[in-house]
Amino acid sequence: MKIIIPVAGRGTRVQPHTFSKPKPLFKIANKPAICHIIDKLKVLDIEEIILIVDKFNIDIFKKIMPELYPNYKISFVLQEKPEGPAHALWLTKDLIKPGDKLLINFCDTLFEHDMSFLNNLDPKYDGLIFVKEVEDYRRFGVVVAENDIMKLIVEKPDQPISKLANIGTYYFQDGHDLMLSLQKMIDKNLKVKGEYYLPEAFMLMVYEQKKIFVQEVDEWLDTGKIETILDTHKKILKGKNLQEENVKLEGTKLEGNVAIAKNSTLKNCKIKDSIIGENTTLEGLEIHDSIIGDNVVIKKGGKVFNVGDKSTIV
Amino acid sequence: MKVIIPIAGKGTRARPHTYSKPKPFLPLAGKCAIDFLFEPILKLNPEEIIIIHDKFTEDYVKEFFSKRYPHINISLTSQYNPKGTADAIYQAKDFIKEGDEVLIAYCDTIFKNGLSEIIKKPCDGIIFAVQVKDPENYGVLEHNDGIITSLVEKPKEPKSNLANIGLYYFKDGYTFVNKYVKKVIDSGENENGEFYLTDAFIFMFEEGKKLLAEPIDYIDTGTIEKIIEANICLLDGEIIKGHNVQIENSEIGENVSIGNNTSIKDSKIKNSIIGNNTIIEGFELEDSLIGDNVVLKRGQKLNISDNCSIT
Repeated sequence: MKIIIPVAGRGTRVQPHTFSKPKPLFKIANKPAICHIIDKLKVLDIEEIILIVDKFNIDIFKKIMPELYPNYKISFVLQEKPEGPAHALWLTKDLIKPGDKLLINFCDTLFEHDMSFLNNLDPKYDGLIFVKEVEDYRRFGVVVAENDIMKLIVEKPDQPISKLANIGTYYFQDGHDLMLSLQKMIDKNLKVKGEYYLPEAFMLMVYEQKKIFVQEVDEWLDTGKIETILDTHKKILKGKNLQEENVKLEGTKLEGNVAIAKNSTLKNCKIKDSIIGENTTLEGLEIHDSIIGDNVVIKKGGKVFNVGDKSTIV
Repeated sequence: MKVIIPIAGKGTRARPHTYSKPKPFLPLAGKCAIDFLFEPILKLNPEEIIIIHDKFTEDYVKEFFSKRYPHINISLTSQYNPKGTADAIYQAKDFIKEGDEVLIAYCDTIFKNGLSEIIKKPCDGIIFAVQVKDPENYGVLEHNDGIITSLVEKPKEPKSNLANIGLYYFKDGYTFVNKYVKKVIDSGENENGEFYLTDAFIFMFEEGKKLLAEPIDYIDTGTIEKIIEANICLLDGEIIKGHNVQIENSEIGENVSIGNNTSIKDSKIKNSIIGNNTIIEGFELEDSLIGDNVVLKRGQKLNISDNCSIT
């Protein structure tokens, strides 16, 4: 099976943290988001992992991915400029051959689901779209199913036609089917607001009677913005605290859901529901629902502030 | 006269601010560092200013110059795989024609002197310099009565106290780029895998070219501490406020510059730079550099990027 993970994009909604690192490398529960995804897919027979990168993050992904996953073949496809998620996938067309099983996972999506069933998926299905029932359907792309087969996919509907939100994970028995559909979308110039989106390509498949099974996942963990990252972090830690190596705690109370990366020192702090980066020093802070980066120094009562764009204390 | 300004570079010494904007665009005394660099340069009425950026700074640079200097002839060119100072300058070769004088200005400095008289001196070129107390930490210009004989990087036994600050003038810019810089490139990468501009000067000394060491008053803006010092030096006790700044129940002391749409409440601030669209409530600040869109209130929810500090 080939896995495509699109990681291009500036991560604007996760600033200021994405000023210094790509969003998929942001650590949640002491593990980069992209590793949460790949580790869930390890039950599959992975032939190749294809990352769609941009000019800003290509160097760091090329360096770090082989270090994180030395046993997988990892390829990189450069998205020169953003033209929508469907266009990004289309860029991988030369790497997807007829007959290639293909799984696509967008990077805002972490999920809880045993994926091993894909190894023995009934051949009568051409593919799967993973969904999760949501209340606020207006914010998502929703999938209308008939006997569990996708009939319609609509971005941010006004009417409650379905509450099954597309989470950004897809599987195709023959990845080449999707590539042909993406090619048609490009040829027909099916742009929405100047970009290419996936619903148009999926609908082309639906029109061709492709059977796309609608599979609900056990849990969907969104990492698209600061608040959802903190929520996801809590759901993964389930009240525990996590520390990497060489963390020093002195007179400090961790009150649950606190992850601290390596070489950080906390003195006289009281912390709850927070993510603390590496090589960071905190003294005398009482904080919660916080994300603090790497190489940060904060001392209570300090008067010399070196604080970058979009950092906040509220 | 054509001016080449290389601004590629990660600005590691000015983090966290350089994560979101290139160093020459950090706020300083109500403007940006590059505005102060531009002031004496624009007085020379340059025919063209050529900015060498990298892929990370490209978008920011394009937007900044089109808005801030719409009437100046500025060309942008890219150094996508930066390989040192000579590599940067060589990217400008297509812009430099026969007969062009060239001024090269690196961005870690701003200088106060006018340049127009100095560059009239009879010479092939000028390497501007500053007198330092610790020349062993700099590139040192060895000279005979102001005519440079050699440039030595961080010498153990410095023969002069004139340090290279990254500002250069060449009467025949075309030959400088197409002969001497080209020779550096053609000689291959050095042991660090880069091409250094200073090697081009050495080729010139070897051919007996007359390069002058000219002392100049300059202000270093290379690190956060130096930027704060530069702000103090430029403001000279003043306070500078942008548009729509709101200050309530606060004491704003000397040498503070505050960006547009920023509001400050119940705070005490001195010797600091505060960016645009920022909110500060209930803090005492000094010697601080605070970026754009920052919110500092006395709360317990922190969202703090890499390399920030409050000490």
